[in-house]
Amino acid sequence: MTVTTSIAQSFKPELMRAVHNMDLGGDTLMMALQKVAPGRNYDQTTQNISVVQAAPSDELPAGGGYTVGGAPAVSAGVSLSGTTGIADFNNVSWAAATFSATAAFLYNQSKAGRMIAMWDFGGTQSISGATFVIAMPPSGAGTSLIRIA
Amino acid sequence: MSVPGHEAGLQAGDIKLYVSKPDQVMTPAFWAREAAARIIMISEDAPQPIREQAKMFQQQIFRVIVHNINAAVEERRARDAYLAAKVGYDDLAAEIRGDCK
Repeated sequence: MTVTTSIAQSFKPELMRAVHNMDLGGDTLMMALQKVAPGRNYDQTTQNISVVQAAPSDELPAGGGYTVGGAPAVSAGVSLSGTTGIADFNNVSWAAATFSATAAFLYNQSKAGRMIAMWDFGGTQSISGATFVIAMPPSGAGTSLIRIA
Repeated sequence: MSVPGHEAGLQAGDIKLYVSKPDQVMTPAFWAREAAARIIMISEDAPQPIREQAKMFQQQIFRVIVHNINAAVEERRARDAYLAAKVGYDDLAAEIRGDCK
């Protein structure tokens, strides 16, 4: 079973309905991690983190420094770069972590877990008693984490 | 490692994963660099003179942050070494102080 790196299709109309506030002090966005050997496929059609968490859950179980639901992805702001709308975020990290993960899901906890995007790690990433960091890309029309051209 | 993003009208950027080891942790310089990059975000679309000026300012901020993180780490190590020595773990205290290099 796989994750296809993508933006959730459902996120697009939700933007038009002003469902999400990704700006500083806006909604609480979370980054959740997927366990090794998940039972289902996830791609642009995945609309909610609850799909990932449905029993048997494909999210990492609690423990080893990981909490179910993941860790906050704190906004660094929403702005316009040239003609592209961009949303930037601070890094997400898990300290004293001992786990293996294969993908990350960005979702909106404030809006009932609506899915925003997901990234496949291209393989299993393992860590033992150290820090696991998802480093966000630099700000820019061609680089920011979420961009609307 | 770099994880490529999805390319479309609505796009997701590339994320990077950093995985440390218990005996090889991320340094104050790593965290300072990340902090400086968040404080001063430099758009790739910005005019070159502004980019260069912003990069210089970012570098100054990096130096301030790394200096202060190092100072905080030293403070913490001194405190931990004191506490270890206080309960009789002199070897551990020396290790924490960095005397055993």
